[in-house]
Amino acid sequence: MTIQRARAIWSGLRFFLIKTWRRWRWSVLRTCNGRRFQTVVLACGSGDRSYRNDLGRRVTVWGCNFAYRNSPQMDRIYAMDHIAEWLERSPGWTDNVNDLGIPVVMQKHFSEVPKSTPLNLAGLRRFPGTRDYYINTICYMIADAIREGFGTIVIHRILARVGSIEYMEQKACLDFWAGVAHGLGIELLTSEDSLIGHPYPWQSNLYGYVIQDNWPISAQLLSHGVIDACRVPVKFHIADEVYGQRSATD
Amino acid sequence: MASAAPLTEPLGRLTAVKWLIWSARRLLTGNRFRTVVLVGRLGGDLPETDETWGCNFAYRTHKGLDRLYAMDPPEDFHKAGESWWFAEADTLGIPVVMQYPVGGIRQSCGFDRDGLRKTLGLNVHHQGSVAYMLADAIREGFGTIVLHRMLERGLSEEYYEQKDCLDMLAALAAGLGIRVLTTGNSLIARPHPWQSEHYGYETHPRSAQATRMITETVRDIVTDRGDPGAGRLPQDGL
Repeated sequence: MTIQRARAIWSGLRFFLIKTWRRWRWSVLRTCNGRRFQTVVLACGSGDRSYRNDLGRRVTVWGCNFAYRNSPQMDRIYAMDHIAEWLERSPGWTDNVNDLGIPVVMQKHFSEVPKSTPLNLAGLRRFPGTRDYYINTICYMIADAIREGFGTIVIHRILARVGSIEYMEQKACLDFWAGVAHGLGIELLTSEDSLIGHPYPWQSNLYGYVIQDNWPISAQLLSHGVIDACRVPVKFHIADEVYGQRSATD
Repeated sequence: MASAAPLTEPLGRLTAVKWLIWSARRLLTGNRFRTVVLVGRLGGDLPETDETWGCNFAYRTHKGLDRLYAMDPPEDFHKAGESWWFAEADTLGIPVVMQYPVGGIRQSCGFDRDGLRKTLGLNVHHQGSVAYMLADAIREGFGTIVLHRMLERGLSEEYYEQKDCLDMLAALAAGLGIRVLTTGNSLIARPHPWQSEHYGYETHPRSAQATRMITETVRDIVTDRGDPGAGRLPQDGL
């Protein structure tokens, strides 16, 4: 039992030392490179360019996938789907992003997009250092904004529509990354219509205190939906980049 | 030119002063070096710990709890024919955190709803009693929080509705430097069972079908839910 206790203490101490070192290093770096005083707007819709003036600070705008259509002044594009999917589904996309002449963060460098750069997955694993949990492109963007040390992250018009097929099941993951950012003291702003950090529209803010007459119905409907979803056979084919970068850090 | 949508702070704002006070307090109280294990009804061996908190009926599975949380309205226990719970909770002789102190339980006390907001400037929503426990553990500044066998079953009726809240609170704790541990099968801070944890890198041709199913269900709920203000305010006035 004593050995077990000693192991537990050592494990805790090791965690504390590693975390403290990485956090201190991150904090110093972001202050030195000025990112702490900068704002990044993560967008996939329209209107985000106005923040350049409204926020009154140095603002960087990152967009995902087709965001450049609405905001031509993007500083960086994130497109985490494989290039084969882009070529198959949207053949003109590569030409469009190439014309922009801005960095395009992708899984790795693809010759079809000369300005494409690989996402620093190994860096994300070091800091913020949470487990791999990225279920859409926005999650990678938030994690990267945290890693780069921005003082303010604006999530613009993401998760704004309850019935959207794109983002509803991704809410938990977006909330997760919002929580990480907030815990690190990063100012997190969302557009008013966003559901990030809010309960689902049919839920109350405070379970128990506010009595929901219809709670069992929504819970049962959802759980049946989940059961149906789990019945769909899903097999993952993992890209080499994930394990390649993992072995590089571990 | 499109205008910018108004911005809000959905989670509030963690200021440096609040963080410093919180950090100093957890050092002074010693909680910084302590571990709390949060348990539910599911059994299993617990890790060595300083404190164990349980919710609702957890005391039946786990002996020696240090605190019990029961955040459902006390009337609901009566309605469900579980009035005996009050007598059992009273005999435990440990603090029982509820919405407000209840006469039948001598050590019952009210949950501090404003605790996280006052301490860390956070506006978080709470879904389920576990979320309240987790929020309290963060507020009290424990060094390690173990979520024991929480959110293990994706097919549970409570799973989908509570996952976003628990994910957010766990992430918040991690961001604050608290070590958060979960048991092996827990889906906290993990994707839904049909999703990949590396979007894009891992191809999953059929998960789109699962996504469509969930979305259809959500649309049904939103369409059928009727009056959006169907919730009734509690008697102590929120």
